[in-house]
Amino acid sequence: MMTEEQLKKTLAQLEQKVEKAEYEQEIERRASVFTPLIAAAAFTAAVFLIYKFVILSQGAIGGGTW
Amino acid sequence: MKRDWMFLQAVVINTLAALLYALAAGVIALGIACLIEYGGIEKPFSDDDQTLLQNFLGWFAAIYALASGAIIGQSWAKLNKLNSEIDREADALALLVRTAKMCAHSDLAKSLSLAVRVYVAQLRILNVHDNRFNSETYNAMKEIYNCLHRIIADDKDTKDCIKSELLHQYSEAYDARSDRFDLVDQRVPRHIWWILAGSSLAWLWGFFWLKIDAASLSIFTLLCMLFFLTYTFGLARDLDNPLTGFWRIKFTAFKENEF
Repeated sequence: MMTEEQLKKTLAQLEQKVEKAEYEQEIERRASVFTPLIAAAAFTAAVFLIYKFVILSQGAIGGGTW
Repeated sequence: MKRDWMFLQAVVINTLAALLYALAAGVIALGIACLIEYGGIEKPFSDDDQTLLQNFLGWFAAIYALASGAIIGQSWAKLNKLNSEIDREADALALLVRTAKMCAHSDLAKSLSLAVRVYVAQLRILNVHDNRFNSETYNAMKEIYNCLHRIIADDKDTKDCIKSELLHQYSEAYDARSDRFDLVDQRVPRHIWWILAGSSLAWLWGFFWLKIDAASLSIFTLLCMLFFLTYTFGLARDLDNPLTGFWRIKFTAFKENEF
């Protein structure tokens, strides 16, 4: 069991770290908003290019050649 | 400047991870495309087949919307419930501190208040990395209990109704904390993800087989479908894990409350 002095000392040490830790976590959270967007855009581009240049150029699929 | 650099670093790491996933998905899509297109399978280009395909895409859209909507809705509800549990925990601890001020011996009440503040500071530092047992917050919660025990056992001048209320608020905070960890562990089963990914691909493939004369319309439908399906899948994955991604639990209730 901690004494009042020990609790005060622990709290003072922790309060110095709180702001920095919260800021880092917020940065990490905000940066990850792009993840599904980038993944969606990259996958869209990859499949679309495959479709256009690999499959459509063979004339084997879809309605036309463009 | 340092903070901007940290943000940029996080964006680059996330971008690389997303590109890696997209590349893997692209390779799988290419493999399936080659299998279907060069496997000697007859293409559904007759008028009858095209009508059937159009109808199939319509029916499938309804089933797909129900399945993906249920997963996203469930995950979203879980996230909201988690944030409510965090709010309940913060309120209970704030009330615990306020009730402790009614104790006859102010030194015991002060120790309890300090122990609660230590717990809150530990939680704000650990945030999503907090653990149920063997963590700093777990030890801090035990310290709150020790202070409470001292008030109940040693403080003879404090009324029983106040002691009872202190115990009630502590139980409420402990219960909310346990519920938080229970909810965090609840996830959509792994095989559901495979079913969702497979059905996304099946629905998408129907659009590749559609005969569309105008190139602009063909490009438009394909791009819209590809982007929508991939983003929906990414959103569902992000929501499923409340500790990572953009939609994650927030401890703002602990920041805003006074302890």
